[in-house]
Amino acid sequence: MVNAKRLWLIGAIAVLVAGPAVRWTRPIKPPASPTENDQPQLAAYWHFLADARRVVPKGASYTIKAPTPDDETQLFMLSQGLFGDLDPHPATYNWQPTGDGANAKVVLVYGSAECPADAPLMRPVKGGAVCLR
Amino acid sequence: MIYALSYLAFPLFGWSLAKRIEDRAARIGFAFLAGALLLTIEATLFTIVGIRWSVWALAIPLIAASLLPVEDRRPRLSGQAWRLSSTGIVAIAIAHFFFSNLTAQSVSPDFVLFWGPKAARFALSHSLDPHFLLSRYPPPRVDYPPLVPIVEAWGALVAKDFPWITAASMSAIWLLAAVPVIRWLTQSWEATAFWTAAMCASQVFSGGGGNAEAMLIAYLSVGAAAIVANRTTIAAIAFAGATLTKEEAFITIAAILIGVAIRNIKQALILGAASVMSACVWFAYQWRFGLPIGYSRFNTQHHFFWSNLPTIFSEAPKSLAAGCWGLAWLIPLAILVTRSREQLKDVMPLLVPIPLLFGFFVFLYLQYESALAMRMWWILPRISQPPMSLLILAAAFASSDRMRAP
Repeated sequence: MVNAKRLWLIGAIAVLVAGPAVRWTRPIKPPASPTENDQPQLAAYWHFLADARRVVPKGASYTIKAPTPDDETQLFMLSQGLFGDLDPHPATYNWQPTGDGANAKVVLVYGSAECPADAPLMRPVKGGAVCLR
Repeated sequence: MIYALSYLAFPLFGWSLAKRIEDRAARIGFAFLAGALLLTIEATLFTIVGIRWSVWALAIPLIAASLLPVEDRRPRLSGQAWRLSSTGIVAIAIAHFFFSNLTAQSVSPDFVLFWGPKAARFALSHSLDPHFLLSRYPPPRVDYPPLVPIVEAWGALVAKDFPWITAASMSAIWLLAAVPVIRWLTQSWEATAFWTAAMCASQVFSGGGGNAEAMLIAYLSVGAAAIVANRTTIAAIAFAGATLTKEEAFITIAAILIGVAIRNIKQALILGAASVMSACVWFAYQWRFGLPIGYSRFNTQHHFFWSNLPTIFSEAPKSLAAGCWGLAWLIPLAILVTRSREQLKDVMPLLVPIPLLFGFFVFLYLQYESALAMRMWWILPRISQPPMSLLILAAAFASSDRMRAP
């Protein structure tokens, strides 16, 4: 019994050494997004949407334009949490085009500061632009 | 801060179900888990019958239930002295998981892609918003049971805000709540310290912040330990919580119940009934609002790609490292192989499910058409946590000289 107790303790310390002591090598700083230090792509999406959220009026309809369908899909998933009080019209949903994006008043353009021709009013935000039809 | 403090309500909500636990710390820990379960059931029923969520509307019935006179075992401090070494390990391990989330090093992508969006939307609509789940563009995993988003939405209702990083960091609190219950059931501070260190390392390794894994592990581990400690009611409540946390709980519980049924068919039936009844609350919601009833993920293809086998066996060890070079598996295994047959017989309900679960994982991975190695790396570190916990608990009981009498 004594041996088992010792083994448990030594094992627990070894797990701590292998876990926190080895893994925690990065400097600790307050993150700007939930996945800041682990998922940089998701963090970049987050920065864009969070910055855009400040300028999109409550209740407005919105769509998202991004370089790839994967970007648009993940940006839309994230926006469902950050833009809960807005009316979504995604251009891409689950990696498939919807044809619904044209019905939105606000176009969130990720990865570019250029607005579509039918949404000329532009405000630059982190990682992209917010354009108004 | 207010969001974090909102979790203090859970032990109050679940106090009525924890009154029979004589150990004070275990009583509080179990009341936390039971409170989250009761809140989930209540919040789901509220939406089914059309009652709008508010902090007081949700809190008052649960607190009133806690005040009802129930057979109350006088609480006492743990019979086993609090050991500085073990509690220090527990504190460091929990702090590691907590700060890994707080510094955005271990937050799950699932949290920002669907758990968090669901919670934020449910809090905004003051309901388990069927319009959102049935909308033209629903979030992913509409069929997932509601405990995680309801618990996260509760904090948002109290704080009137959804602080994403704080919400994800609260995952560590679930393991903290399970600690005194595991210690009380196993009667071993040392084994509990190891369990905590292993679970936290695995959570950090697999990016468990904000998703369902910490809750699932807390419920399943308490339930499994309660079976061996002959605390069937505790196990039934814990399994009910697991079932409403994630649909994978059904697989783990079914595997555990096979081990239980070999020894005690009546106990297995009680535990199975508790799990099914709990799931029925969610199925009733699905039925009420016209959602597909059940879990879509269980629709497996049953087409096997046997060429996946070499990849499965070559990739598995990397995913089973559990953030600690596999020590979380190797140390309990080393303890188990030194135990007598009699000691192992007592923990069979915890050992039987382990090969069954790994068999199920292979069954699933044989059906993957593409990107098997990448998907294993993503999924296996998380879904291997329940069997890892069972292995540690089996070794904890087998190495303890305080197995409880039936």
